[in-house]
Amino acid sequence: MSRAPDSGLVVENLSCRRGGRQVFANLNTHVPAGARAHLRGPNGSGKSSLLRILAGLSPPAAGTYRFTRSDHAALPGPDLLYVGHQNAVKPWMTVAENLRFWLTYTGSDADSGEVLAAAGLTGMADLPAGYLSFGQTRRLALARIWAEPPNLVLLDEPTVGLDAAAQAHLESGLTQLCDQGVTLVIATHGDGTAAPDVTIDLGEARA
Amino acid sequence: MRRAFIALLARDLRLAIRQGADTALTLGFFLLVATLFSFGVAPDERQAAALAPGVLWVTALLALLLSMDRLFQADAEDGALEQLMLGNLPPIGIVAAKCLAHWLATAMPLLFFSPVLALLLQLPADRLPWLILALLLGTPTLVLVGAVGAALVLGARRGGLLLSLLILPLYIPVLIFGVAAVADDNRAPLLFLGAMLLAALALAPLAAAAALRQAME
Repeated sequence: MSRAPDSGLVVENLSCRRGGRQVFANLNTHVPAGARAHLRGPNGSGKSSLLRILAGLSPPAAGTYRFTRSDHAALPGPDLLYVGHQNAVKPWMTVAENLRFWLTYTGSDADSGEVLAAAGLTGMADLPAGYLSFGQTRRLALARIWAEPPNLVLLDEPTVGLDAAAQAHLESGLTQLCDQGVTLVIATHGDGTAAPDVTIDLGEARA
Repeated sequence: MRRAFIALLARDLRLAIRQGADTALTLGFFLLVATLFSFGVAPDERQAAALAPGVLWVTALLALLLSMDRLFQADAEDGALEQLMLGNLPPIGIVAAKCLAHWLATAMPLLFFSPVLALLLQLPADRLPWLILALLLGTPTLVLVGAVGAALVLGARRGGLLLSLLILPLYIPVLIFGVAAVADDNRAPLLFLGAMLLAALALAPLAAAAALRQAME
């Protein structure tokens, strides 16, 4: 796939402050559309903060960021999929109801049964989500990856709580997304994942 | 956008029915306290009847306040609020859908049982339509104003307590006109309740949405 030079995620001089403390400063990076970026750095280096800023949930202290989808490979799914530390799963609703709500809410027409099957949660559709294990809940939170491919996917330590099989399953799903032209930014400590195209090391961006 | 609004409304109603805590708490408090008053207030019928509108309104208002702090709290704690903010529905729509669901789940049952309690408190039967109408116009205002407070105290420790201190003074106008509407054969208090509802409908979602955005940072 040919990539336009300025398509994708462009971050310029981005700084983040939390509670009066400088978390990172003057971060510059470019993740081309359809590339996979890993976000690295020790605890407290601002990986989650950066993802929240990129998702548009909190404003940066300084600097700019923009995401441009590549013209010839605009994907049918939503502009953005962000999965943070928390799973946003309601224990009082069934697995299928949880997923169906988020699909409907984000305007997706994907079939919840198919998405659940792809996410490795077959046979659990009618189970109240409160009965799921920690790892299964995480899988449910990540299930929307397998609906229509979004243009930009931001994941905050997606493998926490996942067993080896689920990690491998997620990995294959992410590789597939990259092949489809989805831009991925993943905060991760883990090894054993596919080599990223871009590594953003927040340990170096400290002020 | 309409699809997202309806989806959120349906989800909140479903959760309210499945969980039942907010409805049970609000309704239980309303029924119990109003019943306590019926035993506690003088056996003199006329005196009791004079107190009834005030007792009903104050009890209803406090009952609604009980579950108000949970309006955004549950979604904020499990990360759902973040995801809601990232969807196509603007924050104002999120506030509106959640308020409507909350009103249907907590205020509607209260309205349904209010005639029984009114009779228990010796309110003359011919005042019942006025009571229902006043509650119908007043309770949505209480929920909308409460939503602003609930969004403001999001993430604060002892948010419920803070919310009461913040919101109760703002409930006074609704209380004054609500009681007046039940007490007298006069349309003016009802019109005031209607006007306050329209103002709350226009302003409260704006304010609550701004507070939610602030809380997200």
